[in-house]
Amino acid sequence: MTLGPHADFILGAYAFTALVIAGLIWHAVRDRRAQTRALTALQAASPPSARSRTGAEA
Amino acid sequence: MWTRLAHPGNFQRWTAPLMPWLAGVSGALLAFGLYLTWFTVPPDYQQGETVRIMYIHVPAAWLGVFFYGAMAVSAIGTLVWRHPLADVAQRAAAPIGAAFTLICLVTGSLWGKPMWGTYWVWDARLTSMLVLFLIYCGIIALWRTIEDPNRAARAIAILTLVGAVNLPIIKFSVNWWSTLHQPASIMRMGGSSIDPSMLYPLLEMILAFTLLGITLHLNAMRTEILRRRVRSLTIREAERLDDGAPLGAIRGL
Repeated sequence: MTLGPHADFILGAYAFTALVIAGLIWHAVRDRRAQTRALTALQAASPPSARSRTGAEA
Repeated sequence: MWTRLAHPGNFQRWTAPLMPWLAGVSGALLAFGLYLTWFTVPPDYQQGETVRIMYIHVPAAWLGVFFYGAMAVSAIGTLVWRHPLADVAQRAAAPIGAAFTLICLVTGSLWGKPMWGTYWVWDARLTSMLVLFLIYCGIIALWRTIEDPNRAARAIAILTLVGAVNLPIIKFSVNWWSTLHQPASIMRMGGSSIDPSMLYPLLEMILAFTLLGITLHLNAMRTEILRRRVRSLTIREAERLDDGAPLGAIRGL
């Protein structure tokens, strides 16, 4: 397929979109892992009574 | 039933098995949409191959507006019912909506240069989309400024509702003012003006982007609930440690 004289604009638009969507997915995965790790560490540190009060087991 | 489903703990439970399915279907729809866009859509008689930019520009514009609409509905939920999930939904939607609005602005600009001869004009549609992006940025910045989540939720809900005035302006800007941007061609009186060979791939890409956006949003909501649990546990843990600490340690002496 030939994209004609405006190929740079077309490919640039798709590359930018791919970059932003990849960034969104990467940030979502990274943030979720960080929060899960923090929650696990806090649950391990706090006594069982405190854990049941916050409902943090879910 | 709605109250039960919207309880943050229940929300975590019923969305957990949905996430891999939503991610898989979004990926498959996006792959199929890209195949249609690149291998079946004919070049436009005026725009030539540049028309392919439309298959990412239009879905991104739709999602930019869609997420702001969802935030406005959530803002009502925060202000009227003070439901915690409404605030969570609003907070999770803002960065995703901002990202898709940015995609819309940049891809539109890259289409504009070869078609209009310029990257940017202060046209009503372009300017109102830029205003939408700036409102998103303002909301994200405000969230980071106010530490107390309850105070932040109310302030941002009000700001979101004020900003919602921009949504009809975006939609009708091409009718109300003389603009360089083309008028509505999908949702308009008398049906779409786009040929089916181009319309169906475009609708497929809109569906794929929408499902991807919803997947990202649900995931962000689940993470936000975790973040709030971490915050509440951290405060409890600090209080517990303070209770057992000597007075000098509490005062930081």
